[in-house]
Amino acid sequence: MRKLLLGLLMVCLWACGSPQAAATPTPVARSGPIAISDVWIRATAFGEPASTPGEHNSLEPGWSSAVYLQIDNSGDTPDQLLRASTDIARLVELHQSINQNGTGQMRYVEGIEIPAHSQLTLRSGGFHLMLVDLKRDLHRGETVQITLEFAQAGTISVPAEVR
Amino acid sequence: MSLRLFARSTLVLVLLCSLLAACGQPHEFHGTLLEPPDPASDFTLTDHRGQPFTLSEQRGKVQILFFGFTTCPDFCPTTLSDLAAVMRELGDDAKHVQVVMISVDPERDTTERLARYVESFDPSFVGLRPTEQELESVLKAYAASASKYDTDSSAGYLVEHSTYLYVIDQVGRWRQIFSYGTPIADIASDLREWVRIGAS
Repeated sequence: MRKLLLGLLMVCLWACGSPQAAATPTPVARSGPIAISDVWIRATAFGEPASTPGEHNSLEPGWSSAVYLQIDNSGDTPDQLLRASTDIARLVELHQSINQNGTGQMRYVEGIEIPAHSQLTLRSGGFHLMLVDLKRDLHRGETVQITLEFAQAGTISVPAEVR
Repeated sequence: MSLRLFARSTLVLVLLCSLLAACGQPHEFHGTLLEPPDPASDFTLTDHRGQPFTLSEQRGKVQILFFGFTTCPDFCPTTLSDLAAVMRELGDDAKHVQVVMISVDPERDTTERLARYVESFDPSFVGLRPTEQELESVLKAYAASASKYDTDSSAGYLVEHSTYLYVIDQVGRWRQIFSYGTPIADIASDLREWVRIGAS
């Protein structure tokens, strides 16, 4: 019993003392000082189900989804995300969602700046990449390739997990 | 007192205390409460199956109203997918809860399109397509807003709109508002309480 109590005490002390692990996901791609991590796309099921499993249905224009990701710039100069593209949508646009006094608005932006030695997360309610006119439904668990174009770091192709 | 006996009695005491605390404490709501609750303004709109949907005929289920549109790529799918997660978390209680999205873009959101959209998140979700005039009066009744604006986006015009969730209880009273981004667990916990209150 004493041993058990001592053990519990040690576990508690260890839990208190251990530093909080910093949330730095492993980069999936990098170019120079720019590293990309945690890339994901929201799953959709807007079309009729594909007739054969594994086959993809096609969607009429007008359906969209969004890509979220984290960008780390470890360099001494700022960089800018200028454009993005993918096979699964007619085009990709850079957008920013703003929720002010309970009203949500989405703005089209020309570029997204990543200051030197900083980290920027594209997340719901903030910056994101809008997939305009999805060509097909996106299913949870599949991986889709997205190409990002930076002013300094150039083109970076990253796998995005559909969630 | 032996150490073992001491440990056991401490454990029993701790369990008793937490049990008492759980029984005596009222539920702490996460969303903003409307005190006193207002009778929810009634409306009849066409649903995603082309059938009339009257709010006051939905008594017995907690209604979660949300204004959105199917071309919206960020706020709306995030909210609806959070609500789908809330429904999963509610388990058996989910059958006493109904999620309703009122389209703020009736021009592009046809009933067929609404059906595909809302059902892609959860087959139980309801989508409503008001006429422009109906939309205006529902927005007014819930102190919400929606307005079209042009952007450089090739997705065409977009609609800025209220991002709150409006909670109507089982007897048709407007009880609560959730802000955008309220954690799934908090929404589920409050809804479970509304279901419990409605059943008692």
